[in-house]
Amino acid sequence: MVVSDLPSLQDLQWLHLSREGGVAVMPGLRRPCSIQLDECPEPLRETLRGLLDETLPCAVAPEEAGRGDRRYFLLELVFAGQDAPLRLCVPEEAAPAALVQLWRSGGAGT
Amino acid sequence: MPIAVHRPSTVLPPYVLDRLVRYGSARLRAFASDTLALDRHLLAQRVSHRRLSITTAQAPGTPPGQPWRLVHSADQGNQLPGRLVRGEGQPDSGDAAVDEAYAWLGATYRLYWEAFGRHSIDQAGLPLIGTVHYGQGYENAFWNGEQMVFGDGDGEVFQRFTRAIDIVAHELTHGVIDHQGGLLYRDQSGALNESLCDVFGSLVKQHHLGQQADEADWLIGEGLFGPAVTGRALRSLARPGSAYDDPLLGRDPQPAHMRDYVHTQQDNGGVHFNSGIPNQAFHRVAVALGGHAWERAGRIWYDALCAPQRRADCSFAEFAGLTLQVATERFGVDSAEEVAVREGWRAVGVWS
Repeated sequence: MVVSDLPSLQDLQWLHLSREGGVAVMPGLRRPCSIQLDECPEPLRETLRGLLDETLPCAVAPEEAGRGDRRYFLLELVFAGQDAPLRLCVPEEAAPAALVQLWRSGGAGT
Repeated sequence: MPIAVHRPSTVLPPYVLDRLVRYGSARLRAFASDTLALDRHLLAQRVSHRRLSITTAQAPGTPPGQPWRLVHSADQGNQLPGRLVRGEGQPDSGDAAVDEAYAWLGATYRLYWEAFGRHSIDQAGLPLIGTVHYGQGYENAFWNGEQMVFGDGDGEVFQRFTRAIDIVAHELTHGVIDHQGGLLYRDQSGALNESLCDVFGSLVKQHHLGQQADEADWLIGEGLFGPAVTGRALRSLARPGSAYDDPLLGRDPQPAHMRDYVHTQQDNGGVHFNSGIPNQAFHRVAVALGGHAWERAGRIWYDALCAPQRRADCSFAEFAGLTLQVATERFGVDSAEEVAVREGWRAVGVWS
């Protein structure tokens, strides 16, 4: 990947969020949610972009995030004009409170 | 290794992050810079952990054959290790989670010592550090690279995680694997990592109860589910995919054969899903050999885990090859053990 491959959050179309990992990995505990940003009002999009700006520095490689049964949040970012989503793994203990709240609410309120 | 942004199977190397810092937009520069700082922080943490481990190992500890347990309480917070409640040799604390952790850490130490001659996690008497009452209603147990951590569960879906001896042994085995060259926590090597934790978790329970292979339940996490859940346990080595089927939690997704291997981006490439395949192979070998599973099947799996040629990104087939090799070396060509190992891996489709 080169620098020019990294898209701007302005072009973000979809955000998929789930909780992964843990010693008790079960389908019903992932509680995935999806948010279509290009259909959100601009103030909400701005809020989500702010949340992502806060979250990005907390991300680590997936092997680190889940190792030893630790739980983490998986974010998949789908950008306009990009074939594959960007995937970010955020360890549970490092996740911003707003991200945890977003996951708990299942995307409601965005 | 810990890099922030990745595409499927692609990780940004540090030099790209360095380029981002120099040439990227303001936002990306800030992101890359923070990530590098985090990486360096984690690296420094890891070096410091290594130093701590070395220091601890060199500190005067217990002689070989004696565990050194330190059980703490996080008092429903997130600070680790928390408040020390029960040290080695101290009497019952009266706190069920503390006393269970203490007892099951001791049982795990005993299996590793009595069956394999292993002196704790690092072979050098490393203290067994556990923390209970982590978080509020926390529904998980994990190994953080330094110690074991156990939540209380919410009481409805999950009970406290120290209830299950095999869960405590599972988490301690993550530490053993880390000290034994590691197994990359992704895809097949990650599923092997998980499987070995389940295998030795089950063996600790069987050893503690004095059970033969055909007497064991081969379940992981029996008794953890609360009243709101329909299920026996988290996983079954005897019948992967059969441990639970519940409206809230879903259905146990573990395959027992390579034809059903789960290809997914979830769960680090399905490490807790596909561990069902090597789990089933081990169960078949252990039952075929009979007797105490830790004496022959367990010994073979332990030798393969510790084999110096085993790679951190070991595949199922490579690990299977190691088990066959060590079975032959320890028990002889055409021995019952060699035959059982060959048949075990063949039955789950790792070998045709």
